[in-house]
Amino acid sequence: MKKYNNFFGRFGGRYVAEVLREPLRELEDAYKKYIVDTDFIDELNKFAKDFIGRPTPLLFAENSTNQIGGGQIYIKLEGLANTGAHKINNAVGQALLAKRMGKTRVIAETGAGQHGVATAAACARLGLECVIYMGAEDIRRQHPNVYWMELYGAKVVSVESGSKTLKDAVNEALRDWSGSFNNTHYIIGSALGPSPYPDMVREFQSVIGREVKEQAKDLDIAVMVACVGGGSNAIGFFEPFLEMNTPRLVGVEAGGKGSGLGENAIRMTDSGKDGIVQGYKSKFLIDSDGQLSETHSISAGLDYPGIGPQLANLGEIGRVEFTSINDNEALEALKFFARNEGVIFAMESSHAGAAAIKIAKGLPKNRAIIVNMSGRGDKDIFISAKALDEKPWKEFLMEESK
Amino acid sequence: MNREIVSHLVAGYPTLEGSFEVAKGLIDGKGYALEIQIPFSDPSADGPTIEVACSQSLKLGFKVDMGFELIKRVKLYSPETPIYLMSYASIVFTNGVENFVKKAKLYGVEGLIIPDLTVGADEGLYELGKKYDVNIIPVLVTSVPKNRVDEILRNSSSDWVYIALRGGITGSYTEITKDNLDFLDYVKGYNKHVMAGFGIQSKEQIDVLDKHVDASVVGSYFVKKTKELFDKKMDLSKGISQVISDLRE
Ligand SMILES: Cc1ncc(COP(=O)(O)O)c(C=O)c1O
Repeated sequence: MKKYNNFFGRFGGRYVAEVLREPLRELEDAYKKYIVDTDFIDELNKFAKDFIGRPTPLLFAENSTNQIGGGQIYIKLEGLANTGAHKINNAVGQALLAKRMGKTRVIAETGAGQHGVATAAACARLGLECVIYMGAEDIRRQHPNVYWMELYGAKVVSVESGSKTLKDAVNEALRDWSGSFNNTHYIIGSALGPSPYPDMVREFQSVIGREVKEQAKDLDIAVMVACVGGGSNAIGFFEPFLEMNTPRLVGVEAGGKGSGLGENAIRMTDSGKDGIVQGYKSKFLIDSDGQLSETHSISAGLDYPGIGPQLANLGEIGRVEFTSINDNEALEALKFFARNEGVIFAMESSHAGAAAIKIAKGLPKNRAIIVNMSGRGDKDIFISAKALDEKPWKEFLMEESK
Repeated sequence: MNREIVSHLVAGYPTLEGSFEVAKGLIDGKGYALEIQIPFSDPSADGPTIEVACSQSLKLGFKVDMGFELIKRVKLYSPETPIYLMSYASIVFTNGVENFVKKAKLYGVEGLIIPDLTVGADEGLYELGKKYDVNIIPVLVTSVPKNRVDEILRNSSSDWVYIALRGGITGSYTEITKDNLDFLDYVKGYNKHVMAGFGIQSKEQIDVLDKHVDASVVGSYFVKKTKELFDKKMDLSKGISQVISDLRE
């Protein structure tokens, strides 16, 4: 697939105020130049190996497979990457690019906090000043990650506007950038936003899919499954397979706590509508006037009303199928894989895990299904422990806070 | 000096009725034109004052159609006051670009200011503006390169150009530099009327701008004053009329 597309079908583009046109054009030039520059790619690969810890393993989930009795389940352990999620692939790529562009300051937005932690770590390593915007509600939900970001030396700014979640953090980062682009690069955390971000983030994340292709070359892959917030882990995981007819590619959205508008973050199979928001055209959860709706998910990283434009297009043309998993199903999958395989999925990735369990049941035994564990679940301890084991957890917290 | 002011208000803020009172006050205080902002849930170019006003208006149930009804009432109150409607791409796109432009014309709107639909990424807005005879007012900022200024102004049939005096967001104070003034003069060379703003909150700033623009745009300052008057339960239209008269004096 081309490294620079700008539009994907009717989705994508660059819908920004005039003030952001120049910095985006400058970024596009740099991206196009360096993504094919062998020096840059060598540096990126060295970082991937020494700092991120790539390649991440592809684990055969043997116990789960035996218990379910369908296709063979494999888990791509992106959670074993430094800072605990796939977000680091993109953060390092963009931070290296920022350095080449002569920028000294980096800003980012974060929902679950994983992108913020990854960006803060990359900036610490590269000696870049770092400011992270995070919704006040997400700060409350993902406090451990705030602590890590600050330990890495980043400044975490609590965003109090709107629903106090990821979309508001994006607005705040855009506000900062439109006044600071002379020395500042904005690292968008998913494969969305104005062009060239969707292309750039996909390329930096495609390392996941390339490794899978290599690691699974002896397997008969029937299905690949990934969760979709903005969609960066999914598009990076799918990338090397997009132009083939197989395997089936499945994106899993957050079914939240119900089907009403505001109770989930299902953009592709339910109430998502074409819209232009935060610089790009895609499917959004918006009302009849174009106002962004509230969303809900137990996982902060899937709780966003838009989806990356390339995935929106791939969904429409049928190359990627979409399904959804609700909060409780995600929690059940978390328990299932912890007990059977000794791996703790991030709450986001648990959505993919839950969908994989359902799909595996219908597959013949000789075929493989690969689920992307986009992150590991350490960061979610305050959510999972409360949901699964409330009383002893609360007693522990009371005791600790004395 | 003429001291023309394009005054900005947020439709539906502090209430729907209140925003009509504010409009009356701005007109009574001899504002040259009104820039009426249709609230959007995610106004990424706006600072805290306007952002909060927009979310307040939406919380009270504001719908785009109420904005057009407000414009109709303001036009009845003062048919000769030009009205510029400001909003974001999401609002225009979701309501249908052509439908939106037609409606603007029908309700007597002189121009649309949609900062995130720019020439070349405008969903047909600029052409539709020509077709229905509505000014689509480009929003420039002084960091825009000259060749892009050319491209925009060549594609624009609007009488007016809006110039934001710095990057960043609305609200915080703007230092008016020589570069700003040079840029304003450069754009005036295109035979366009120029309105300029972003962070204008004092007579002194307007004094400096006045020789270089056809109108100064004042936004967050009025929204902030509106909040103060509303919180103190004072008469919005009288109070705002005084605020703008003081600026124009
Ligand atoms: C572990 C993990 N997985 C998935 C996501 C969702 O993002 P995306 O859809 O861009 O991969 C996040 C976002 O924060 C995350 O932290």
